[in-house]
Amino acid sequence: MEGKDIQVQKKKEVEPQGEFTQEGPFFIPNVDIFENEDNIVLLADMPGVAKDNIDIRLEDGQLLIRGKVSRDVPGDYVLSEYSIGDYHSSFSLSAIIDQTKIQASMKNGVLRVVLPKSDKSKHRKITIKSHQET
Amino acid sequence: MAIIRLRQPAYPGAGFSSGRFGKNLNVFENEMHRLFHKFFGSDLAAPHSTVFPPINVCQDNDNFYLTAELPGMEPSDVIVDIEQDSIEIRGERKIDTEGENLCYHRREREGGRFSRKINFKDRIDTGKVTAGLKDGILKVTMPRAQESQPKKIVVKTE
Repeated sequence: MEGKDIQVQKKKEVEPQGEFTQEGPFFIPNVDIFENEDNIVLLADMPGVAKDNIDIRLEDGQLLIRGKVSRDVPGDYVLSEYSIGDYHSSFSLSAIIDQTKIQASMKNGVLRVVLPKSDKSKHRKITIKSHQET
Repeated sequence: MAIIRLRQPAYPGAGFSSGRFGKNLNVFENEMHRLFHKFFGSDLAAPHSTVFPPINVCQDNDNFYLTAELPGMEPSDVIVDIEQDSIEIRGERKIDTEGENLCYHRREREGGRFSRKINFKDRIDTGKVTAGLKDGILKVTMPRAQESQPKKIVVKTE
């Protein structure tokens, strides 16, 4: 097999803001954020979160992401290398995002959010015309 | 200076009995409990492995249950080998390139190949093992072999 060996990334625990009715650890997902000409794309690793258990909302220019996981475990632990907890994350959105056209999808525990850039912010090529003298 | 916000008890009914100071003590005790766990708890309770993927194993009288976090992986990318007393998980996590001319703001997700072997002290009934990958979590249920299941012996009168 080609490619490098993968190292485990320790889950980053977070103290959530505000009051929560649920106890237990919360984690920040590992994310990739990249930008192309038309969109900003966010990918977040959230293993254990089903499509229906994800909550994405826009509040005051913030993109809030919450993913719920089941904490049920069968039987008693013999080996425990990772903790189970919900995912919480927030990102500030700049004005260049067209907030009405944000799309999100979930596959195999990875969330994908596509944030289209508004027309205003797209690079525009300005053609220079020769000045017509009258 | 940090402001410590008092929260409701993590475990209702835990701690001291509710007397005159009972409630406050409860909150205080839970706060100490939480702080202790914040500093020492997670590392003491769960020695985090540096080998991918992170694995949890549970057991009951009939089965071993293994779960592993493999976000973004398809079932065809994971190979699970079962032997009578061990399980091996292999594969490669690929992070797809999303095209040319991209500007990355953050890049935390990692790809690469992995291989892990876990040994069990008891025998497994290899014919009845089931494995599934859902929402980025691999779940393997391994029934214990008959001879390693706890036996109940009925005592008769003679």
